[in-house]
Amino acid sequence: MKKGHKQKSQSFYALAFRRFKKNKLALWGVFVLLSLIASAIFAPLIAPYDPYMSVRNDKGMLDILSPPSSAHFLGTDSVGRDVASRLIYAGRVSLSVGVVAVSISIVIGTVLGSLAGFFGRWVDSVIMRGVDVVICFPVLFLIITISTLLKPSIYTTMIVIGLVSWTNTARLVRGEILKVREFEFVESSRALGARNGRIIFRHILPNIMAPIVVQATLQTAQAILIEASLSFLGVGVQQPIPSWGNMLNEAMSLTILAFKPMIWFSPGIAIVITVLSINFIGDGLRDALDPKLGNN
Amino acid sequence: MREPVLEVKGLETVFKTEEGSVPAVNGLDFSLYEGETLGIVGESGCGKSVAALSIMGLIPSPPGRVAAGQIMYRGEDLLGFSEERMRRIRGNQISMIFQEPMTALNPVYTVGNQIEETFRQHRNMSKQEAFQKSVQMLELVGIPLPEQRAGEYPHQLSGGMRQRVMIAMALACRPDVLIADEPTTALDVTIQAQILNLMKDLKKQFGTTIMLITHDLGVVAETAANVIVMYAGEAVEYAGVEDLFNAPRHPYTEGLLGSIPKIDESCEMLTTIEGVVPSLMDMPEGCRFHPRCHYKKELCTQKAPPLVESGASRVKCFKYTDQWPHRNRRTISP
Repeated sequence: MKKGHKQKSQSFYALAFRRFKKNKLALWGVFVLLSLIASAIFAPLIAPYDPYMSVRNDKGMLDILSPPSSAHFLGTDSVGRDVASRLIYAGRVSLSVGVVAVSISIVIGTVLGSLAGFFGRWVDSVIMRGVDVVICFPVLFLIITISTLLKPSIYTTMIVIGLVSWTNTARLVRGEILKVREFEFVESSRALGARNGRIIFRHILPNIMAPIVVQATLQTAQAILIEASLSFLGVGVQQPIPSWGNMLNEAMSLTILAFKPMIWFSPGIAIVITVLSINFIGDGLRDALDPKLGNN
Repeated sequence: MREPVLEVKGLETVFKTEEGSVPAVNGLDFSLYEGETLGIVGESGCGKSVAALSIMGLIPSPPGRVAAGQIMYRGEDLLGFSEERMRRIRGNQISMIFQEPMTALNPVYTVGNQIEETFRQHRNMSKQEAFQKSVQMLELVGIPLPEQRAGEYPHQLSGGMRQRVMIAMALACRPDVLIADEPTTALDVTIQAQILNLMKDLKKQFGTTIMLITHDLGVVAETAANVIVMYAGEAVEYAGVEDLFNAPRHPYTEGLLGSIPKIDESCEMLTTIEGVVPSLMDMPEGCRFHPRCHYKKELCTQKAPPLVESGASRVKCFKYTDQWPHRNRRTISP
């Protein structure tokens, strides 16, 4: 009997996972992203050099802007640090900023969107007008202002990105809740004596997890891009902590831009690969979680 | 004289719309005695479901509001209860099952899980205990292999099975009163009979009082002891089920019974009640049924008829009052 149980119960997510596995591009995305995450976690083991130390060459001079070689396979930067090592450590920063910022924005967006959608009336009006206001801000300018006021650091970058990007989630969640709260099982659970909180968190939210997960994935890519732009502009993650964005910052120098392409090319490629693979995963998740879109 | 479990007095539920307040239920009175099955019949939009939701305190507000009346549950007025107190009553003392077994179960949880929830909410049970109780409930509502079924999701069950699960959820805490809002409408006929039998069995077993809302007179004949016929937000006839079918008093009841096709007669056209239910926004003066009534007299268009006793039934129609002209020549059978 136990065995029959195992075979027969195909939860929604088990079915979605099966559909996801059929999507080659998304699987590649997962593979690439997992390797990036692994390299970020095990950075101290993988990185050939200390990302904060300038290396000296055999003549005892700082080995600055050296071209790719067997010792430094992506060369060294303008103060003589190993680019490959910095790239690996920067992955830590960029990925964690992406994840933390998105967690913040998803939590805020989901909570506010749920309240707005579920309670409607003035709660809805207040929250959605708040969303309109936040959307109206020129985001980059706002972020620059806040992160300057709060002293730029990796944590302010996370918080600031989280605080400005929850509006899409809030709108999405509100819309989904408006749809789901009309289902009869909501009324039925109320008729069986469930509290509002229980209805929202136990009955409604699990039913709209799919769009939220997709949203979170795609937003992670977005957050990584914003972090890169901020750091590139010098208001995000600060030197000497490496991030892909502030590594790109070196491309502002004409000599480096023109003659030392590996220094800006490698973080650029890292960003592109990361964002692309996350987006592929997001698309794959969307197709898997919403069978109606079906492309088979 | 037994005390009624639930007594509804002068219930009036209105909905606010752009064009003003609409009374969806207008002065409904009835008593529900312990162990009784009361049928409430009427066509769509006559206020049956709104009456049920009013009792549960689940009228969407706004736009809805219980404007007047009392809902006495064991001597206390539910309308005066706080939301928290009401919540503890729902599913525990008064439970409700819904029409659509397809959508009334949450698709992301196993059915066992959903029954467990009722226990955990009202009985503070441990997970283990709640699970065992749920399996028992599933067994009780006649689901084969209950232990295995408990681990399945709603989409894996048929409509009839789901309705059984709904009944299991509603009866989990052994409520005094079960309100069944068209429990068999979405099911096919053989399954309907099974579900009705199940409800009858469980009622016998637990002594649950049932308020059965339906538009199907067959269902009423099968299960109910007493019947209320509703028309346009009002109860127009209260009768025992035998009286209702043998000697319908109100012209609307007559019409309803007349519109059931007979199995032993062939006919070209089905009999219907002429006209349509008036819009709640625009109720006719006098008796609400008069524009569609065969017996209509001058009188009916002027005043609302009182509720009068006629035999064992009570009916809202001038035909049974002294004011009716030619009272001697009244005919009762349809």
